Amino acid sequence: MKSRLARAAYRRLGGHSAAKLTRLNGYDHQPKYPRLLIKLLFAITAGVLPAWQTQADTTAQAIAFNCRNCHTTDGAATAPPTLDNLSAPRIRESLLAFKYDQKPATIMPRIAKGYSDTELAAVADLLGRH
Amino acid sequence: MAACSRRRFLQFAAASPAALLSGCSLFPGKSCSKAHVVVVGGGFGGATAAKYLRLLAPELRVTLIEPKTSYITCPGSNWLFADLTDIRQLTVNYRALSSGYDIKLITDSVSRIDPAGRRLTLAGGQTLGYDRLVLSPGIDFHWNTLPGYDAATAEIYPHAWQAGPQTLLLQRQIQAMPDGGMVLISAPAEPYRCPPGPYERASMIACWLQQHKPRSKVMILDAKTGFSKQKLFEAGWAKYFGYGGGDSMLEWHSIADNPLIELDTATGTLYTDFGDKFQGQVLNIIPPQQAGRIARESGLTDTDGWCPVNAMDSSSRFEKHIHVIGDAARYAPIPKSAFAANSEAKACALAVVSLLKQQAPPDPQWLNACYSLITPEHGISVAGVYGLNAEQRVETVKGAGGLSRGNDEREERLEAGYALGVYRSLVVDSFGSAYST
Ligand SMILES: Cc1cc2nc3c(=O)[nH]c(=O)nc-3n(C[C@H](O)[C@H](O)[C@H](O)COP(=O)(O)OP(=O)(O)OC[C@H]3O[C@@H](n4cnc5c(N)ncnc54)[C@H](O)[C@@H]3O)c2cc1C
Repeated sequence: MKSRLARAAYRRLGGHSAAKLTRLNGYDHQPKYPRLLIKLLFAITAGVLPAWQTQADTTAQAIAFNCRNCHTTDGAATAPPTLDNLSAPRIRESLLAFKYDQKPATIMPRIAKGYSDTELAAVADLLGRH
Repeated sequence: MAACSRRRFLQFAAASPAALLSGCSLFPGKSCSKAHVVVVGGGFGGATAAKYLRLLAPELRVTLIEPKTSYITCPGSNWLFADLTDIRQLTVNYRALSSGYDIKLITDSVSRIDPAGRRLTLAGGQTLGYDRLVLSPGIDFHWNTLPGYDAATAEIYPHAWQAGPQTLLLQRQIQAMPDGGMVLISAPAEPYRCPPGPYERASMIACWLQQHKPRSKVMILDAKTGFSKQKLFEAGWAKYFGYGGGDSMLEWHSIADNPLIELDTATGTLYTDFGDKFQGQVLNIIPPQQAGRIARESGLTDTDGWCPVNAMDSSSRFEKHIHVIGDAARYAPIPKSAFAANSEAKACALAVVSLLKQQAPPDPQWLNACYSLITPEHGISVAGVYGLNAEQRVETVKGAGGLSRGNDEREERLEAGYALGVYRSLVVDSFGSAYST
């Protein structure tokens, strides 16, 4: 293994400087979100969003939380793709294709097989609500 | 940048109502308005729990107690040995959680918990009441399992299993070692933090030695008979380091039935039960582990040193109002990883909010995905999906999860990239922001 080359490749793959990453990811070092803004957001959306009361909905949410482990940042070349611009049907289609080995990928086929088709559809519906 | 991050925050809010805003609509009825949840430990488990508690129930009071003002992640710390990162890039702080998520941060450590009175005492003397406590104190070491290896000796022969000065000490020793030297890594028996960690570390060290001190070697002495992602690691080692051949740069030896019994600190020599002798210029001794001290002193651990939990709602088997997550708790077969700690924290936050509203918690959903680098361009992964079985215990979902396919350069390269991308995403998801400076 040629280390210098490898390191250059690694940088290409996304080993950026902290400053550049901050720009890429759109994250500030010291975000200061006014409390009022947060409260406002909660207030507005709490009224607008439908109440999720069924067991199926809470299960879907519990599953969807785990998508955020990998799909929270975007912009860096090597990050798993962001879900924020994908529609629910698109996400559902992908999840089912991963599960039934119709869409090649490194890790998603292994993960999607852990859930029923109904669960995957409900997760897609949640993630697709923009 | 402030405007930029705010836009980003709004986007996140808009994009993921599920993640951010559903709190009280998810749990209609009673609000948990006056409730106070205290989270102890600001690692991957605690940070994620605090953040998701706030997202799920904005009316809740959430306090996070952590003695350090910044946190150096163990994930990514092995990459330091191949010069792929530095400590600064592995450091996060709590500013995003405190100002972005309205979490009250107390920079102190908890010295005592009084479960009956639901109060805790800080090292600084202050006391604090709670309705529910979430504990994620990480690990402590079992010193002297290898006689002579204690906290003081670790300053000479580092464990580097808590990232920071220990990691830098090990790196300096490897850099200072003469070419032709031997780096010995002693890997513990299960369970321990980050099962594939010692093998990723050996790989990263070998990458660096190959470049800078090509006559040197790294040798793993393992208390186990096998290890995580073994086939994938060994295939990579054979490809890059001549593993399995006579002059391999990297060797792995199981000493499961011939354990280490002595460390001669003067000469850096390890002796086994049968009298075998291993000498290294650098010794990286990863000791057996147990739950962090506060968990043990609060009566939350079993005789094996880990905290048993009711997996359904992450509550301690011993104290109903204390929830334990992360490395300190026993969620086997889920491995002790940052990814798993994050996932356990989310399930815990859902359970705590439900319980505060006197509702049944949803069935927990856990996920683990751990990436390791063999070289900067060769990544491998293991994944697992977990749920509750009929006995309310954690169970691996059959037919899901497992290892990378292997033997596919395109995928190896992709997974090397994902190792990095997922690291970053996990840090942002857990701490609310990527880097501190
Ligand atoms: C070399 C190495 C590489 C790793 N790589 C990966 C990886 O690639 N991916 C992965 O998923 N995992 C990885 N891990 C594992 C990961 O680091 C741990 O699983 C993870 O940190 C567990 O999180 P935690 O919250 O349980 O504990 P920690 O992250 O250790 O956090 C515990 C926190 O609690 C605080 N604390 C302790 N006692 C008290 C007290 N009394 N009062 C207040 N605060 C207290 C501590 O200061 C600490 O900040 C790696 C580990 C190592 C060692």
